[in-house]
This record gives sequence, C-alpha cells and structure tokens, in this order.
Amino acid sequence: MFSLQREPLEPMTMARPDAGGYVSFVGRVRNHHVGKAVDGLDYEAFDAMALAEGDKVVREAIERFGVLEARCIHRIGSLNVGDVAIAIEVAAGHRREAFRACEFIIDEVKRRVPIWKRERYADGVEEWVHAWSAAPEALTEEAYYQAQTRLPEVGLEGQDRLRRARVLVIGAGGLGCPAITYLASCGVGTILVADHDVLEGDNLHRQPLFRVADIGRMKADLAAEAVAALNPYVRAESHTVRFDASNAERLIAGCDLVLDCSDNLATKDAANAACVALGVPLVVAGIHRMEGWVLSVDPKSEGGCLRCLWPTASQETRSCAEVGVLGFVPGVLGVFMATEAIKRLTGWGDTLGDRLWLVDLLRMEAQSVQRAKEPGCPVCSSPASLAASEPIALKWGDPALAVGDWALLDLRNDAQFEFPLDWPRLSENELSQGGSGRRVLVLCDRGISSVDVVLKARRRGIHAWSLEHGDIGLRRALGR
Amino acid sequence: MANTVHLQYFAILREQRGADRETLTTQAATLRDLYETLAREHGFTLTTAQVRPAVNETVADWDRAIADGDRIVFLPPVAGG
Ligand SMILES: [Zn+2]
Repeated sequence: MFSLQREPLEPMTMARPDAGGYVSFVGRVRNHHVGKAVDGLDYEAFDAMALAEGDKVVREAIERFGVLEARCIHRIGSLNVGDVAIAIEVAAGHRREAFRACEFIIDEVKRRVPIWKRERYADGVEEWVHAWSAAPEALTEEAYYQAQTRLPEVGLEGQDRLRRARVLVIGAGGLGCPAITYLASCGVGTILVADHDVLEGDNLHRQPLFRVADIGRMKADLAAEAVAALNPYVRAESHTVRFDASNAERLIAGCDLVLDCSDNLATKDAANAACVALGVPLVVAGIHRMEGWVLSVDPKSEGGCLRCLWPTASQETRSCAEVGVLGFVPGVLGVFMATEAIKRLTGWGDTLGDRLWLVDLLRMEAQSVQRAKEPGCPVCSSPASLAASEPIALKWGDPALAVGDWALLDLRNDAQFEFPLDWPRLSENELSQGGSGRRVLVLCDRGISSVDVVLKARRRGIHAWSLEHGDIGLRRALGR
Repeated sequence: MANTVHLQYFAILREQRGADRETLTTQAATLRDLYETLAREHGFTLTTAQVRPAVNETVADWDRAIADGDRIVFLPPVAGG
C-alpha cells in the first residue's frame, strides 16, 4: 500500500467498477525553499520503518474514511526540479471520502514517515531538511523548546533525553488529557496512547484536550492528533484497545515509563503487574471528588508496588461520571503525573520516590506517606526476590557492563546488526550447562524473553543479566 | 490503656464518617481494633482488607500497636480518573 521507489514516478491511474470517486495527489520538487533557489534534492528513507509507518498511514486512511483502495509511493534518491516526489491515489464510493483520505495520507506521511531530504541549493550548498515535520519553517525544534532549554538543569542535553524517551499513557480521560498534553509539549519523543472509548459529551468538562466536534470519535485517535497539532517534534501512537494483561507486554515493551491514567482499579492492577514484571517504572494516580493520590512504582526500589499498598481491589470503583467530579481535579493530578514522569526520565531534582502523595483540593492541603514493600506481595516479591537486590536488567551503557569478564547470549530473532563488543558468544545450551564462568548478558528483541532466561539462570547460580529493552534499547542507545 | 490519637479520613471514608479528621481517646490496642470499632460505629462499608492505614506519615500494618499521639490516616483505594 505504501512503497518507496528509486526510479522516476508516474502518476497512477486506478479504475474499479465499485468506485465512483478518485482523487490523486502529486507532489513535485519545487525550485525554491525559504527564499533560496533549489537545484534539486535527495530523499533518503529509514527503509524498514518508513515502509511500516507508511503502510500504517494508508491503512488508517482506508479504515477511517471508509474508502475502497488507497496507494502511496514516495520517491527516494536524487530528484531534479519538477520531478514527482510523491504520488497518492484514492478510490472511494463517493468523492468526499476520497478527498479527505488523500489529504490525510499526505499530511500523515509528511509528519510520521521517516524520510529526510537534502536540498541542493543553486549556490552549491546542500542542506538536510526534516522532511516529515509539519511545523512552520520558522518554528524549528530549537525555537519550540527554547524557553525550557534555557533552564540550566534542562539544557540541550536534558531536552535530548526527553526526545529519546518512549512513554505509554493508559487512558485518555481526565488524568490522561493533561498528562498527555504536557508530556507532548515538553518534548517526550514518543507517546503511546491506549484507550478504547469514544468521546462523549459529558467528558469534555474534564478532558479539555478534545473539542465538541470530536464527540463520537475514538479518544486514542483524538489524543494522537492533538499531540501532532501541539508539537511537530514528538510522535504519538494511537492504540484503540482496552489495556489488559493480554496486550500489556506488546504496549509496554521498549517503553521507558508508563503512566496509568485509567479510571478503574482492575486496569491499574494490570498495569502494576505488567510494569513490575517488565521492570518499567509506573506513575499511577486516582481521584475521588475533590481528592486525589499519586505514586510511582519503581521496580528497582524498596517502595513496593500498588498491590503492596492495596492488597485487594475495592468494590468502590465507581467512575467519575457516577461519583461526580470537578473538571480541574483530574487536571491537577494529571499534570502532577506528567511532572513526576518527566523528572524520572531526566533525573531533574527529586521525584516522589517511594511516597504516596495525597492532595485535598477542597481544603488545599497536600501530604505524603512513606510506602514500603510488603514481604508477601504476590506481584513484586517473587520472582524478583529470587535475584536478591541485584537488578535483572541493565541499560546499555551501565557501568557494570565495563567491569569483569562478560559473555553474550544473543536471542534476537532478526538481528539487524552485530552486537558492538567482541565478547565471547554463548549458546542457550552452554548457558544451561553453567556458562563459562563469565558474567552473561542476555540480549533478545525487546528485553522480555531475556528476563525469563536470566531468572532461570540465576536460580542455578549463574550471574546473568538481561539487556533492558533488548535490541530496541540497544538500537536506540546507539542511535540506529 | 487509653491513647489519644489524631485520625484523618480520605475519600469514601470521609463521606461515611462525615468528617475529614478527629482526635479521640481509644482503648483499642491495634489499628485493626480501632478501625473495626469505628467501622461499626459509623457504618464504614470497606473492610480492613480493602483499606490501608498509615501512621505518622508511613504506611503501616493493621496489627501495628497504637501509641499515644499517633497520627493515623485511613486510605481507601480510589480509582476514578
Ligand atoms: Zn508489591
């Protein structure tokens, strides 16, 4: 549905008996850019990701606008002024959907598909241009964040840490809307939004990320669109699913942090269990009328998890709509969640740590309570306690990796590149026979199956660690 | 032995108690005894399995002995969002 092509592009011509409306769009290389004369340009794509993301855009267009067929081809390589850079064609029952789908495809491809262009200016200078940014030309990424990067504790380095972060937000409701807004505006690079509900009219008073005209649409889609409109330098993914144990791993894998902004304890329990199992920190909050609480579950700390605090889910899980809530209450808590998340991602100042933070907006009072791990907690006491206090996973770049003799167990299914160090390689068989007396780093695709391997190995006394987020984490750390 | 303690209620417990805080003198030996007495008196619907106590700004067990001057908070789980 989406393809890349090195050869010159010809406009396409679809024809099918069931389609009455066809819209095609052709983008050609123009002879100027920001007032400078352009001779031509080169397009370069991050192929695998471009094809996957491009395909997703076309599929979304077909689904969202109910068109019959859509195709998009993007040129790569060297182009001259006047050459076709992109061609889109949509076939639909009627013209209106065809126009909308076509416009959606060109906008989303420019925004989301990783294709860079290098412009060759008439004066001989060449310059790479961020081709998929929808920002006005004057609003560069530097300009967008300048009031924030001016702070010495943030700087360009802190901003870069945020850009590289990947965060899952569960629930795009009263807590999710403000949390998503500030994660996006402050520059968290990739934001996944999981929500299975459509927007209803009585949501708007506490979910001001949305508009009256949005009623009836999926909130995850709306949130992703709102993020795109707010900050062209971050990316939001819409996942229109109810978060539960069946999709937890898929959604959390590769994330640096999860925010649970759901409105029910069952989802919070599922998020808690999955985050503890995968070793990903979780920020979670709840509200009741004019009160609220926030806490962070850090699998590496001694503060325990949500289940340590509340061992049995309460029957008292009526939603905000039933109990009644003032719009700004989840707003305050959601912004607080974003604050905690951003500070955890960047290391600025102090976080909540292992405290439970309680706020009463009726009396304008806040207090915090120190939490601790419950020895018998079914979620966080085992199997992690089998490995004593030693972390299961290490991040790429952890100083521990530079100490002692290491061997690598590579479990990746489709490794795109060689592991960058010349450590001896172990097979799974060699590991089960006790390894080689070396420390063992287990590398898998996402850092999930490696955890099981590490836990099993440690039970046999082998000193093994998982590489956090596996191949995804490694590629990200190495900038590939 | 009677101890004077300072109590604070959150969310549904505040509503069922009809107050957000109170100071009282109690014969209860543990947090569990105290909560169960209060639950009978005020008709709390949540059990000790559902509520978490905290004493002097630290999460505590229900079997913790009560000491004079304790600042006790009862925390029901609250999900809305
Ligand atoms: Zn726990």
